[in-house]
Amino acid sequence: MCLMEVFCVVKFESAQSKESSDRDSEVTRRRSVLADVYNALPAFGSMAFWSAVEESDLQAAVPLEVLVRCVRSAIAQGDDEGRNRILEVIFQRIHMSNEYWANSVLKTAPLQADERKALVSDLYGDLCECLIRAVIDDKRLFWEENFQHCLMFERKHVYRSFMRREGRWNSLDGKRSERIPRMLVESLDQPAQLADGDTYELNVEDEKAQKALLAVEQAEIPGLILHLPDRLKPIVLLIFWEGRTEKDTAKILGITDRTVRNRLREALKLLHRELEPEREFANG
Amino acid sequence: MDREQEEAILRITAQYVDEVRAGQRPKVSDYLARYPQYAGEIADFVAYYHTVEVDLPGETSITSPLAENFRIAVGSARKRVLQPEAQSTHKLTTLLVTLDKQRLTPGQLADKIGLSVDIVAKLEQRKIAASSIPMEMYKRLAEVLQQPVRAIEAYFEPLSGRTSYRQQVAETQVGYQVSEPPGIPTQSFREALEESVQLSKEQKQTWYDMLNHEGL
Repeated sequence: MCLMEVFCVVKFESAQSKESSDRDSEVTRRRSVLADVYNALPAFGSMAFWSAVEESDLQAAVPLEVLVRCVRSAIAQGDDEGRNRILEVIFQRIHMSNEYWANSVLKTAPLQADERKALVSDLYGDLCECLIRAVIDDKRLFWEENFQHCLMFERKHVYRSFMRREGRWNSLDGKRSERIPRMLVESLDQPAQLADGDTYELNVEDEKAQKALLAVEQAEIPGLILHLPDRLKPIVLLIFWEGRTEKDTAKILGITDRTVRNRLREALKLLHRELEPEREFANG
Repeated sequence: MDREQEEAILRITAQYVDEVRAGQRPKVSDYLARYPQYAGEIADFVAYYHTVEVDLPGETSITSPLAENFRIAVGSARKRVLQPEAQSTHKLTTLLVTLDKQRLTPGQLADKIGLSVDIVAKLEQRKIAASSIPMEMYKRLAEVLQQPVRAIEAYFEPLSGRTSYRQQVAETQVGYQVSEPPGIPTQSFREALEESVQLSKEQKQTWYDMLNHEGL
């Protein structure tokens, strides 16, 4: 490693360390604020307590993280009624977001109105079940720290499980209007250059289909790769979303160039398979 | 993935979201380079976040009561999770759905109960006669899936089977025949073991011993 590279590494690490320390102090501050709110609550079960918990003005409302602690405290005291009452408040406060989410993930599915309504309700029900399990589980501490992020994660899990169960994990993509990103099309059009000077060609069966695939905005790439296996996602994300080279990608992920190439090839093959409907359409 | 790893991924991705929301345009490569051990999970979250979550509304104040269908969904979810008595009479729809709830894959289930994926698939499809399944397997499934043993037994029982759990919760047998036809078992548990190409010799022997012990 040359002197300049060492300098860059040291600079990068020191920036990282400062960033990490800033982040830690922010986390500590946030924890302390939440702890203060929890400790300032009136006695559990009192009129004042319920009035605080059920406050309808969002600006004055008890943070959801604190409500999670309250649920867990109700469970510890064996107060089922109190537990349910706080859960109700939590559900009401996140209802609009959850309803929007359930409708939004099913919006591209080709469904009749009745079927859509039933599926949205099922999806919503599955989410509620997972949320209750998570909120009452006092080992899942991050719920007391960042509720919205945990909720997002739970929705990700529920969305995937639900779609798999309903057999819609891939069929949804077949119906979407997204097209292959320009960078992706270019890479399919030309033999890829390997580090050792060799080239390899991707097995693109149908040129007409390729012509039908027009470029999409970069912002649509995450949606395109959402259904790829997890081990392939970082590769596609780095190369097509961030514009990294294969070599860079290998370095970032700590894997060999060859592994990157193999995974990339696998990912592109899967993406082509997902686009069968467009291909059929293009062929008339 | 264990709790600790899950918590770590939550923290890492929460930081990513904070940066996006602060308009900082964080680089995924920085995160992947910093946490290569979680590369798949981070990339999965980033893809999901930018596809589904990024524009969703956040928390809202309590305004009006929930619509009927959502109220029912919340009520049923609460019943399933919080009322153990309701859970004990709740039948399993499929093993895979129950697995999903435990965040397990069929492979992980197979490992935990000492079977192979090909046999788990047959169990899921109810292709194995309930009367040939050893009690030990019911117990292991019940433990892993966190369900009562009776619910597991009921899952495998044909309608006309032995102590029909389904009949206990059903109002009439006819109603169940119409709405939920049972799978048709095509082989015994012992035959499934013999046929399995994924189960090791040692594992097979362990199960044969159990079958012999239970007189099956």
